[in-house]
Amino acid sequence: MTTESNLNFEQIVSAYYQPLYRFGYSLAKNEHEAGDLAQQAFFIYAEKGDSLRDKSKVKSWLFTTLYREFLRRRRKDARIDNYEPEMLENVGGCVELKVRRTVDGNLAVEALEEVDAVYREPVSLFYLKDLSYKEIAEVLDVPIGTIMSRLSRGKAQLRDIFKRKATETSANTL
Amino acid sequence: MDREEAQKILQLCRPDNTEDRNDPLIAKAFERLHQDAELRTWLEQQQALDAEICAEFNRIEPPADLKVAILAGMRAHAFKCELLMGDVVGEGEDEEEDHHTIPFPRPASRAEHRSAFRPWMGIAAVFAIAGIALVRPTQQAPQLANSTAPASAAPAIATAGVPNMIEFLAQQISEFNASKFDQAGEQIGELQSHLASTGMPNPKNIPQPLQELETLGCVTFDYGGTKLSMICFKNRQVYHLITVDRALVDKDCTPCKGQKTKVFETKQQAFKVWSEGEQVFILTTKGTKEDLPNFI
Repeated sequence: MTTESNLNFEQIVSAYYQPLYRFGYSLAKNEHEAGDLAQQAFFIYAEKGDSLRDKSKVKSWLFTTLYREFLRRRRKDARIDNYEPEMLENVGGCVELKVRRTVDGNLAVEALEEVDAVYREPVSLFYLKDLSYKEIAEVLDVPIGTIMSRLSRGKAQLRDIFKRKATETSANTL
Repeated sequence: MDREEAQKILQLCRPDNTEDRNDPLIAKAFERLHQDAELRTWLEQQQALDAEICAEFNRIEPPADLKVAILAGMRAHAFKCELLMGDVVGEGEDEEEDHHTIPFPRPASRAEHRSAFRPWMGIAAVFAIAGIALVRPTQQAPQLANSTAPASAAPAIATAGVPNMIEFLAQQISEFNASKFDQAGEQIGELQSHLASTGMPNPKNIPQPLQELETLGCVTFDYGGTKLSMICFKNRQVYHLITVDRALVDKDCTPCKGQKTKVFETKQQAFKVWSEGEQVFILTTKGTKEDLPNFI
């Protein structure tokens, strides 16, 4: 590998693996899946990133890829639910999925869980601070006007919940 | 622009972000702050709370080895790509590098991957992948925290730091459907005959309770040159028995000294690994370790 290629790729990984992991975590609420999603985003970048000609778009591209990968997995999970009963034919019975979730006590992530689903992704991307509202619109593939209104409402919800939780937490620690 | 409209726009501004403040729309709303003290106070409060929430999100720390794992994986992937494509694309790769294109990790010189050492690059890639597991000491098969049994008696349960081979199998199984069987059939005998005739790993000792179940079919996977055969059994649940040559399995996959089995959970599947003679067996099913049968 040339040093330059190495450095450039390493720089991209260094710059974005943490925010990507955090975004993955805010989506999946699971450490393992968050790590997996971040790795997968870079893997897809390794596969297709050379077709990306505008360097300034790498960040949005990675976030978009991670988000789409997350959605793809969720859709696949829904399909898998139908796979085993099909294989079992007449035998019947199915396995209840036991998703291992990580509870780490992060106030913001906990508060985000209580925000209306439609606002969660734009709000988490806003608070991760890596993307502007225009980039958030691009990543989530929704018009800027929609993002503006979702951010406005979603942030209002999150702030209220966050404040309430922060108060509860301090009350419990007293 | 009235105050309400300005507030809505100012909400788009990330705390302490000059880039946002230079955005034409946000900059226009900022202009209003000069003539509206109440709006200024409101913004300060909002930004203070936003900064607090941002700090909380930033507390989410990725695993210490994530970056190393990503880079190692990418290098291995690049090597693999070169190995697969080397001769085909080798001659056409002297095109001028586009400076707007993001550099992509790839082997340094054409001569290097045209050389007779190319197979060693593949081996290096395999070691690089295996290395990811080795540099993750905190994730290696921890004992259950609440287990009262001595370490030598209890199986190791790993819910993190799952070996690459197990991850690979989990991925294959999650994407698997009945149409992908190499051989479908309800008799274990005919599936074993098929595996034997194709030279694929054929389980020499199938646990008796599994033998009593009907089978669905068998399939083989190629994990970086290592052949794994899988036979699927059905009961009230589908079980997959994977067989692989012991010499080809990394140590992080197999039970430690004094332990009979090793258990992993990943992608909503549970895996139990044990070895007998020259073979390693992996029994897997959908769910958690509680869904694995206890007959091993």
